[in-house]
Amino acid sequence: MEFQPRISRFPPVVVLINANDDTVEMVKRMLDVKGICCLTSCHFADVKKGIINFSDFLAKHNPAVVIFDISPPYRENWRFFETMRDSLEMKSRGIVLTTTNKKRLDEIVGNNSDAIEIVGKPYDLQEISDAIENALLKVEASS
Amino acid sequence: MSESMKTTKGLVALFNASDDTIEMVYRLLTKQGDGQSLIWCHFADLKRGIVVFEKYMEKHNPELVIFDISPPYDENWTFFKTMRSNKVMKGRGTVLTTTNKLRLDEIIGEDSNALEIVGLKTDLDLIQAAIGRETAVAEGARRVGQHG
Repeated sequence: MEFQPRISRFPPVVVLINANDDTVEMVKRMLDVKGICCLTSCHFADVKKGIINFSDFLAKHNPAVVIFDISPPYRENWRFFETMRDSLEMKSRGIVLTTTNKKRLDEIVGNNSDAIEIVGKPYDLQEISDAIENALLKVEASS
Repeated sequence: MSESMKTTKGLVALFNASDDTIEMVYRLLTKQGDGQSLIWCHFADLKRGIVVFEKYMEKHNPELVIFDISPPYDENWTFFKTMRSNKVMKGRGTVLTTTNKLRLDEIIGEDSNALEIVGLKTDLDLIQAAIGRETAVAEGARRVGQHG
């Protein structure tokens, strides 16, 4: 089933938590074409350092789906991702996970991260697009 | 005076996308470096012209430049090659890093000679060794410039 954005004043909102401006731009462009609103993005490091308060950020933008990118150092950033994922504010929101080296990430974190590997090719973006649509469908079905 | 004589001894410039990686390299140089200092800017800012590569290099004159190639790999590799072949790179050492060397090499169709960095101590040891090696090469070039 393909995700169809509803005709509404409020299009489905996703937010990006990433380190790489190029990747943010690529994903935003892809979401624009799909009619999915990427309201905002912030740097993973800014959340880690407390420059951006994760709870306030989610409360303010209220996204249906959050796209997290795990960049090096993989071990440390994976732990911080788990903390964010398990927070109460993430309840009933969808998650899409990306990284630039899934094999090494899985080796380091010791399990299958379910992350999508992104190296900037059209097939990565298609995979991310599919994952976002699936996450939005799940959120919609559970609401 | 040759271009190689103008570099600032011990100054390392880092062009990266990730603040975490910048911090890791900064800590590495501070704790285990050989008296080097670090300046950095975001790779994306160079591509977008927010920072002008030539002016940045002329202003700071780093002895060594660490370029990180992040996605989109094909596009950023092309931009890296443009910077690497610029005349302002003459006499400076170069270290290349990436988070996924296998995919980078596949996409660009050649061996990038990049160091893979995923945040482990072993990666940092490799970067430190490469910095030492490239610094020695730059030092050698400077001496040749002084005596040649």
